[in-house]
Parts: sequence; structure tokens; C-alpha cells
Amino acid sequence: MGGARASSIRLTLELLDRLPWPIGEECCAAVFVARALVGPRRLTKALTWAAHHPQAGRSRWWTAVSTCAYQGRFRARHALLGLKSPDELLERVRLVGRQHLPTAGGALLLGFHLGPPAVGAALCAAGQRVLAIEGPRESKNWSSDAWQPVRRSVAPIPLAGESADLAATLYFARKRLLGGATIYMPADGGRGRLAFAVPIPGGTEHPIRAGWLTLRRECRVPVLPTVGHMDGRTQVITIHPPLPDPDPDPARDAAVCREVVTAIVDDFVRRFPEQCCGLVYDEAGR
Amino acid sequence: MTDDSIIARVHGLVTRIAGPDRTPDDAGPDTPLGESGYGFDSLDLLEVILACEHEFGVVFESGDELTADTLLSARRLADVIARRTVV
Repeated sequence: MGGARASSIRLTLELLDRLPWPIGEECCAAVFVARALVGPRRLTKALTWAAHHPQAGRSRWWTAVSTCAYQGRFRARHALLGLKSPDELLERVRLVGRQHLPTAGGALLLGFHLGPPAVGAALCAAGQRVLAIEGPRESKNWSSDAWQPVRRSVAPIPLAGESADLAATLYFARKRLLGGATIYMPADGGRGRLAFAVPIPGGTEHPIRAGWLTLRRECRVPVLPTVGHMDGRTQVITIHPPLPDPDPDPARDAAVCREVVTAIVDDFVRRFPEQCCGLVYDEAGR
Repeated sequence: MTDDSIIARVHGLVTRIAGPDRTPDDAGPDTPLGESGYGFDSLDLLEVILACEHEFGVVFESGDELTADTLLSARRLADVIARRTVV
């Protein structure tokens, strides 16, 4: 059943990709809302989430339905639906906090599964010299020649692979950082050793993995939390100020990082609860 | 065939990183580094790779050198190192 569902989503995305942006993206949003209405478990999750994150002037149902719609939009954005070239994505991206990027030497841009995906690809499309480590992308547009310049700067995390593949990814990321490169990588996700958990209002906890923390201590490069949100149809990528320099004591260092990351996640959840599909649903989108 | 001394040195690094608590009783150069052997996760394996870098003075250059297959055991990793250190 899982395979059939995945195939139907894939087919839907292929069909919607023929439509000009943003029609395909909005249709995808509508499809995901419809799915939630006929599959009560998704809607229940969204309503439970909405109950814990009330928004002034908005009903719980509005937040829940918006969350489902954003899940669809983000799925479309991950597949770059209707975006035939990096320029078309760039027209819809705004970068905030560019001044925090170091002028020389390596840096680690730390992403989260909050807000729209494809932050790494968007940074590359925006001309930032970044190596983005992201999940694999099944997308006709992504595979096209037009996206090749950006594709060259993205290293897919082998999500279905073993620890050895993750270790190799971290090793080569370390090499690049020590060589002065800027790398974008997620702090969270389903795989890897747990560093700490960030409490989310409503009683859940969001796991933060330890790979980036190891790179931070190994490479001593600035680590800048980087979060994206949708402002209308524009993807706003905010680069936050760097985390404090690593504390010699690993436990104290992790505690300091946890405090900063928690504040950033808290702020995002408070401001954009409907864009937190990554916290509401699992990696398979359920 | 890889020099026994390289295999022994890599195996030594692995057991040092694992420590007595995680080293299986019958551990040898073919003991899996992952789940069915030492139980190393990605960060443990990264530590092994970096220790080998330091021990042998090699820098792994390509994705082909660090794979699920070459990181399967100390012997497999020693094979990669031996190929890099052949004069």
C-alpha cells in the first residue's frame, strides 16, 4: 500500500509539473488538503498540532488545513514543480542575514526541517558558493540541463544508505570545511546519532543530530543556523548570527547549542505553525 | 594481498576506538564495524577514518574509497589504505 501511495504521488507530481508555476504548486496543496480530509489520521495530527499552536484571529481548523496545504506546497517545492531553471526559483527567493556570512574561510549553514525545503538549492541558485548536503530529489526539472550548475553544488545524503555512507558524507564535508568551503547541511532528520532534543510546545521533542556538532568542534568554523519560511509565494531564507565558539567541554558546548537552537525553533513554530509540516508528520509525510 | 602490519594497525585503531565494552570477544580484522559487530554508528566510523588518516598519513580522495563495502571491516579498510600507500 505504501508503494502504491508513493507511486500515485509521483504520478501526480509529474502531471502537475506540466503546469506553469505556481499553478502546479497550488494544485499540489489542494491535493494534500483533500488527502487529509479523506484520511482522518493526517487531519487529526494537523488539528492536534493546531490546538497547541493557536494563532490570533485564526481558527484551529484554518491552521490545520493550512498545515496540510503547506505539506503539499513543500512537496511540490522539493520536486521543483514548474521551476524549469534556477533563475525561476531565484525570482522567488529572498536572502536575509547575508552579512553574517564570513568573508573568508569555511562556514557551516545549519538547516532544519522547518518551512520550505530546497534551501540548499535555493542558496546555490542565489549565487552563494555553498555545497548543500540535502536529501535526494526525484524531479524531472532537477535532472534537466538547466539545473546542472546548481546540481553540481548539491551532495545528496544517502538517506537509504548505511552509517558508512553518512560517515563518508561527514568526512568529505569536513575536508571541504577545512579547505574554506561553506556547507549547508541539516541539523535534524531521521538518521544519525542524537545530540540533543528540542522541546516543542505540545509535548513532543524534535531530535537534533550530532554530525554537525562534530564538524563544528573538528573544524572550528562559524556555524550559522539557517531557516526558510514562505512569505506569500516568496521563500525567505534567514541566516542567523553564528553560534558561540565551541566550549572546550563537549557537554557544556552541546548545552549552549541546544539553547540557541531551541530559541530559533521556538520562534519559528510560534510565528509559522502552519509551515511546520516537518514537525507534524514523519519523514514519509504521514 | 594487504600487508599484515597494515591490517593489524587498522584493527588496533578500531579496538581502541571501540574500547573494551564494545569490542566483541572474538573480534578480529573481519569483524563487522557496524551493527553485527562493533556496532559503530556514522560518527564512530568517522573517528576510525580520521584515526587512519593520522596513522598512515593518507587523505581519502574519492567517494569510491569510503563506502559501505570498504568500511565493512578493519581488513577492508586496510585494503584501501594499502592501495594508497603502494610506492
